[in-house]
Amino acid sequence: MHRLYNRLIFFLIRNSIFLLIVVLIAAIGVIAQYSVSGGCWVSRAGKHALRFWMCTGVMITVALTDQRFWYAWAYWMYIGTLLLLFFVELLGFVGMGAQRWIDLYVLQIQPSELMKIMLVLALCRYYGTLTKQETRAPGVHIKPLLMVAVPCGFILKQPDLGNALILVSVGLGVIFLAGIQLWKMSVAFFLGICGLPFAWQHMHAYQKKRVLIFLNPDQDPLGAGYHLLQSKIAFGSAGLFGKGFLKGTQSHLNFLPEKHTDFVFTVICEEFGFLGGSALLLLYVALIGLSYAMTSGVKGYFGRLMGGALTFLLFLHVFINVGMVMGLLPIVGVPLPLVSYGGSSMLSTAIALGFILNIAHYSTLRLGG
Amino acid sequence: MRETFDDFLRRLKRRRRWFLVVEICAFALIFARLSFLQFIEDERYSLLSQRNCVRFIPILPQRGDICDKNGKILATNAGSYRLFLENPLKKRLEHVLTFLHQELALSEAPIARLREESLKKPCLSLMLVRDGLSWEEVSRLAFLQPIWPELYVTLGYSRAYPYDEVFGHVTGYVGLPEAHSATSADAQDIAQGSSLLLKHPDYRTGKTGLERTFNSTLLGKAGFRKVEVNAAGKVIRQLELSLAEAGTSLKTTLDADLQAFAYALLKPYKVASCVIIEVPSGAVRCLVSVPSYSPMDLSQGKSSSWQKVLHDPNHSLLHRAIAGQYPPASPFKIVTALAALEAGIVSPKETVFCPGYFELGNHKFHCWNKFGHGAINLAEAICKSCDVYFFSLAGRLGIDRIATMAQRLGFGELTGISLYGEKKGLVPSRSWKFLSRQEKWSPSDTILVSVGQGPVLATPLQLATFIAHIANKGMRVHPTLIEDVMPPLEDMGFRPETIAFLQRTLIEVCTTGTGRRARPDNPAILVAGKTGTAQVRSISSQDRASGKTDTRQRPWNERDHSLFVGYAPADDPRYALAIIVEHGGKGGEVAASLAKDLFEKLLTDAHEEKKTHAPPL
Repeated sequence: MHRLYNRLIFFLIRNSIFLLIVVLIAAIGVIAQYSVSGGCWVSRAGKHALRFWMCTGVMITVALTDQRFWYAWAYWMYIGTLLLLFFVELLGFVGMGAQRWIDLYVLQIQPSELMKIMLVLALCRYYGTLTKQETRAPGVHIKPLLMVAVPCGFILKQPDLGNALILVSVGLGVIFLAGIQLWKMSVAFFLGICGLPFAWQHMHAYQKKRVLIFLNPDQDPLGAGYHLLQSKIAFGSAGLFGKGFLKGTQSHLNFLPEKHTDFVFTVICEEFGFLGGSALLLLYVALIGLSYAMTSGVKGYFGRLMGGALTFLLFLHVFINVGMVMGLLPIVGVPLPLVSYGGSSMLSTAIALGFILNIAHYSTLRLGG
Repeated sequence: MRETFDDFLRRLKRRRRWFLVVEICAFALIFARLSFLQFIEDERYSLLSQRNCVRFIPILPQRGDICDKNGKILATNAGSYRLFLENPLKKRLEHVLTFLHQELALSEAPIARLREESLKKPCLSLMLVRDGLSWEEVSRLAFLQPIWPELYVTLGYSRAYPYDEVFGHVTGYVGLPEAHSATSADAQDIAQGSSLLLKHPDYRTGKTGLERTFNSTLLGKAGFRKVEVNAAGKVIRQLELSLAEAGTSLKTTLDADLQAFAYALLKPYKVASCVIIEVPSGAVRCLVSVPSYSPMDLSQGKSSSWQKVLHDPNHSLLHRAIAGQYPPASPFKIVTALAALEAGIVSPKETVFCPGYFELGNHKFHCWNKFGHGAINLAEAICKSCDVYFFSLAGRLGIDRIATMAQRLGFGELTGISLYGEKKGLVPSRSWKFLSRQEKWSPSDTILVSVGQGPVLATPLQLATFIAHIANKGMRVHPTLIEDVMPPLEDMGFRPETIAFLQRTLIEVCTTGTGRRARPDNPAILVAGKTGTAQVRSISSQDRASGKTDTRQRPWNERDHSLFVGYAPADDPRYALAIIVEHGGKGGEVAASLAKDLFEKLLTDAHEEKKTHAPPL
């Protein structure tokens, strides 16, 4: 018991900067939630803070659990999450027009969020077991692709384009990091482009509309382009210092959609201006940079691969969310880690950060290869 | 094995570095975008943000009243309570409609209309249920308001005209603004910054008459409420309030009692017009045009009234007093006489023999009296309205001198009265005939013009103004509807003896001549004037042969127009008057007897007024 306590203190001191950044981001999240609820502590902000502390516990637990345990149980956890996804299909409930949640009686959970982490874990486990010769063998990437495709299919069916997109991106990211020959990647990319029209056929009308609006944002300012336009207005009207805490007209007068989840960055930028927005972005840059640095020098192949993949996953969330609210990317529902309101998102982010800490903690452990 | 593993790790490190590059680029892009939105497009989006959440709600100013010279209201605003329904959800709508049916006894038709409107309009938009609620209904609805929060009672104003059709053309009517017609009076108002008003459902603009001419003064200044609204358009709070400034009331020179009297007098004659001008001020006391319309109904846009007015065969929309153009007929003989006397062509003593016709070449121009007037001088010719005398004068005078004199007296020009749609009439001249008909002027044209027939046209207002000049001893009279406008006195430059001669003659007309029926019963009141009978269709030689010279035997619309111009009291002129009764027959009969009634009304009133106001001596 005493030893565990010493380990924890040692761990906290060693990762204090990383943890400080995480707490700061979450604090901004709490402030944003407080503002979005119209200056109300109980409805969202308090819950957000509480969730964060609970998830910090999860994060530290994940970080301090032996890496060999994760390595051994990677596939099982992947399969377990896949089953959860399957249950969502069977008995999940519908929220916001999509069937994404599953009720575990204690808490409602969105398995697609967890899936992203578990997929990375399982893929890294898979490539971790391969030798160098085997990575060049034909057909070696079939299994990983299937591991991406199956949950992706479930998630698309919910429908949740954002998470599916992230799943595919991070899956391909792991395959790339694991050393696939570049020509194979190019061929796959080419085929993917060819398959786009086919994918277009199977998209929902609202998703198609979002892509079209992204390509031509001014075509329908009161209809489908409304959200994007209102978001851009919020950014543009804020200026350097913003409109002030609790004074954002775009958010408080309900011009912004989904302001507590997907568009939370807009709210922050409207109220705190360019300075506030850049401060949050710099915190993310620091978090991602630190994650990269902490995991790049580890001895184990599994750790290094997973560190890269999880950093990429974190980056993808930030980039897609911030890019879409500013009109750089089409609007797909992707939460902003630690700031967007939502338990599953918070939990999966905490687990991802936990794994990054875990990899840094077990830097000398040589798993895989 | 050991080496291959390191290669393995190195390759992973390389690939991770690629990712790092991608990530750095992506963040650079995001920062660039954020700066672009917040610094470069800053202004554009700030404006859009303002427009999003700030609304200006116009406050309608009270339109100014129009009143007569005694302060009697001719046009004002009538407040009425209106019930609005905030478009509820479908389920709720039926409840509300049942309630309205029970409480207000709303019939099926408006309920069906509301149901239909509810489908079209967005949720929460206001729909008018009923205008003109009784006080009882208002209080009951106010009491039930907590149960039916979607019902609103508001006080709205609409234009009211207490005298309605009596002053129809003079006040004009108001209507919805036409934002797109740049030439209309609305364009001016928009330029004056009241464009906000255009959005107000109760905003009306003057369409014709005084309402149009004085639209901007009557309108006042719009106020506004600057409010913050949310995305659903609901008002969150008021940011700024600027109250409306009510329009200025307009005091006119008109006399409501006189106008009502004249209107009632002329109404039985179907189509008629009458103008009374006070001398020497030029104040227009009465401006009647029959048939008239109800400005109340037209302002409310009642389609049945509009249909009636638009399809009226007698064109009730035409303001005949200022825009009806008629041949001035015999009163124009005064112009000819004046021209001749001023030119020194004729002396009052000189006589002409009237055999009942006048020959020019091989054409016979007939006098109205087929038996002829015999040897006749100028005074007698005016008195008996002998045509032949003036025919003979026409040849010696020539059209140029007649036309110049007519223009000097105000014919063929706008009088400049502040009403929209005034017509100029027409004074024919050589150049006019050449330009319009490509024909040379002929002596027979002069003959027709000399007695006010042929192409010459004048409005009743011009006729009244012209006789006012004579009444005012040759000093110019400017007809006006607004009291405070008083132009300087201006001598028109006639010889005093000419004017005196004409005045004497005109008194004679109303004593022994054709206008004797215009003379009031009270022998103390002396009036002067001239009758006129304007031919609508010339009397053909067949008619003359068969003795059908009296047009009373013809169908109504072929009968002669009956005219009278005059002033009273003749010794100290105070009122000048012109009456035209379309297809009324002989001027000496219809118009002159109407003039008598008007003179009596004017002078007995004035008499009494003098009595009551004059200090006891």
